[in-house]
Amino acid sequence: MRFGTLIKTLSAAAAFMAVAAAPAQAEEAGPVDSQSWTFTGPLGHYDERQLQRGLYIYQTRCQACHSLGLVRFSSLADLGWELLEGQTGEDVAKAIASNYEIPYINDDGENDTRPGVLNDTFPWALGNPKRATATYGKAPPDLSTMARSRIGGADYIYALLTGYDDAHEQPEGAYYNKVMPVIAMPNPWPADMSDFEYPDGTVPTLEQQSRDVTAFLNWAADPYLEARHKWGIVVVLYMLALTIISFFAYRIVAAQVHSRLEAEGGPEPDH
Amino acid sequence: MAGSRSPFTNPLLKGFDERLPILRAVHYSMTQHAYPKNLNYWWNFGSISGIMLLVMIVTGLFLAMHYKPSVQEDTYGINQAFRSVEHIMRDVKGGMFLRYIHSVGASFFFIAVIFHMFRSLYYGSYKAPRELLWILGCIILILMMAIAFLGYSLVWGVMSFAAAEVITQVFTAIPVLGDDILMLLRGGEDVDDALLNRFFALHFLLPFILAGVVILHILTLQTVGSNNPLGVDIKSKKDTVSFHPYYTFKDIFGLSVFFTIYLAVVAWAPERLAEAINNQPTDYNLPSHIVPEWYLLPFYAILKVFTWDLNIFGLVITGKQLGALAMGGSLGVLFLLPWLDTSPVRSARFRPLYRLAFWGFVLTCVILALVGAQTSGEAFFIPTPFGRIPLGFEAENGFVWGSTQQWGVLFMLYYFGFFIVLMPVLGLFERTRTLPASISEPVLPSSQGAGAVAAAVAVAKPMAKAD
Ligand code: HEC
Ligand code: HEM
Repeated sequence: MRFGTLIKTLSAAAAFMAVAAAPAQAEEAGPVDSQSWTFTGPLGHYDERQLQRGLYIYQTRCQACHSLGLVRFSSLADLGWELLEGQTGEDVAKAIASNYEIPYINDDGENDTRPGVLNDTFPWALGNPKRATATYGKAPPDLSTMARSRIGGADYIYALLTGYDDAHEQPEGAYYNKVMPVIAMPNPWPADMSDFEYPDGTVPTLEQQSRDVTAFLNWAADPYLEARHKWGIVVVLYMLALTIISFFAYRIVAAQVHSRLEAEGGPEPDH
Repeated sequence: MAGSRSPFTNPLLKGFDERLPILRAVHYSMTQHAYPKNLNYWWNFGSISGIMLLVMIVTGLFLAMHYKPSVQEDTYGINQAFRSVEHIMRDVKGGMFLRYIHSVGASFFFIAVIFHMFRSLYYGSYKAPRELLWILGCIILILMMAIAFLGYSLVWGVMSFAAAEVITQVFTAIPVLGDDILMLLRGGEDVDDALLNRFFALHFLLPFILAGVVILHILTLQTVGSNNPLGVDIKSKKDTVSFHPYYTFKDIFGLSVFFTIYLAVVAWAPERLAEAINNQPTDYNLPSHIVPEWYLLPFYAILKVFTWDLNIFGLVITGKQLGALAMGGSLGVLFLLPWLDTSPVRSARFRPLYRLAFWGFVLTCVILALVGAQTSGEAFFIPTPFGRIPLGFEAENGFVWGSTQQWGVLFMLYYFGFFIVLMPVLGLFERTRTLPASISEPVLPSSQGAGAVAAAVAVAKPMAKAD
């Protein structure tokens, strides 16, 4: 079989797997439309301003219930802050961390809290899974890997955040969402947001806020996406060059072996 | 070892080789062993598989330096095992690449081995004298499946837990000993710390055993020699080339193509082939829809299509036992293949009916994979980029015609029928095309019928074709 056939088979196999990998689950969920994000595509990257806004939304609207137990404050240092004279990104991260109360056991052996430091991760206001479950019927999941743990990823989270409809009748303690028809999470958007403002002056529509916090959660789940994409470009170019070189090297060798076979009718042990 | 005298002139190499003759073994196998000159690109997947094994062992070793097999949960409800995997991705230098190269690598390892096996099936590489080579290959496949399953559990995400729970349960289908085996696998009654620790130990150990079997596989290959696309034996020196330089260069080219695709997936779609839900730490509830990794899907389908019990004169075999038996059988039957196939002709190029049966078998594996991924009682469908093609519907009385389970049974029958019925029967009745006299000399068109002409045209200048 020729090389072309092989490539065709390989790409057919790849296409098949790409389609087959996520079949049945999508069914249970409602409609998840795909959105355009800065971080998709071969050169996809994060919009740092958007991540800053997303962090702000996370802080104001989500962290009362959710945690980011795998995201260290130190990782906020690279969020592209506008820095004052002599200030570093790390200083900004430190300042953010110190606003949080981290539970710990003090020298007298008692439960206490201390201000957060760079090495800490975003705490959970609800304290622990049991208390969280007791409060909401279902524990609000940690959001550190959320953007990677749902089919659709960022599109799914965006659809969920924009999918509330409070007019729907629901049983006690449950809410209606287009994506998850019975959900224990109340609508995170207050009915009246007219006095809410972004620090950078962006118009805070519900869609804008959803989009920003979703981008932030995607960053939280996949913080080194940009590094990986850049690595990919370099590696794939390198491998393509190697592929071309090795192809011609192979053709040259093949021609030599072929003509030697014709001349001698057998292989030569060569040293 | 082909020669008794060291072929080296460099005093250092020569001195070493005279005391430990492994260099000459490699040297002779690369330069003196005769390989058929007409091997095509499907023969690239053996060396690709070998390199993938190395990649997995190296990345796995470094992952193991940071991984913690502990189910203990912190106040976030995140277990230590899951946290340590995320720690590798977030805090360890280069850790994200390490992990994705390993996890995507498992998929690509399977892709390579699957192509490698279908190649063997198509060209009849499992027939005498290569029965043992094939059997060692089957052992490799089973080991790989075990290793992949164990590794998947280590993440201790939602699906890791489900897989560990469901697959260890399968062993309770074994009469009498089932419960003891379950205990042995789990290290206790429940799926928790003891299980995770022994899964880690096994996931670390088995690849080295696999490497041992691969070495036996290659030694066997060196003894019995490679098959080739024509399936005829080597008749003279004219039919052969030495491995180096011809196949070394061809393999490097094939590897480059394969790795370009593999590393692109690592960079842009590292989790495309994985179950998203496993990126959430387990809360010990089984998800509503349990699916294994894609490469285990056909076997999982065979495991789950049995929803009824079998009653043979009062001896009841439960559906669970039937499923376990069938899954075991679907792997076991591979071992018998060299004796099930009765045809003396190896290559499917000269076996028109077998060729059809072969493509039917490829289709069967694809359909079974889809069955494994979909919900048993619901209407079956084929997913395409443009939407679903339904192959079933729900009747008014609620009965589902063409359910996933029904399609599964149908294609499972083909899976077994292919080996147990078609293989022996086709060999006896199929009219094969005329074989070429040798790799270098195709049959002469003039003295043969029309079929032979086609075959002769197809095999003319095999060397040029291999390019
Ligand atoms: C009042 C508490 C509360 C607030 C505020 C809140 N959530 Fe939730 N969230 C929950 C609960 C409870 C669940 C579990 C829902 C369930 O499984 O039914 C949840 C679940 C989720 C899920 C997972 C849904 C799924 O597919 O399982 C996401 C994503 C999520 N929340 C995002 C957010 C974001 C983003 C915000 C801020 C804009 C937010 N939440 C604010 C309580 C909250
Ligand atoms: C870890 C996985 C494996 C590795 C590293 C491996 C390696 C190799 C290599 C390097 C060759 C020689 C090159 C070639 O013919 O492509 C080979 C040949 C072969 N392998 Fe494997 N193999 C693996 C798995 C399997 C499996 C799962 C099977 C089937 C059950 C299999 C069956 C064969 C057969 C029949 C041959 C002889 C091919 C021929 O000459 O036609 N191998 N293997």
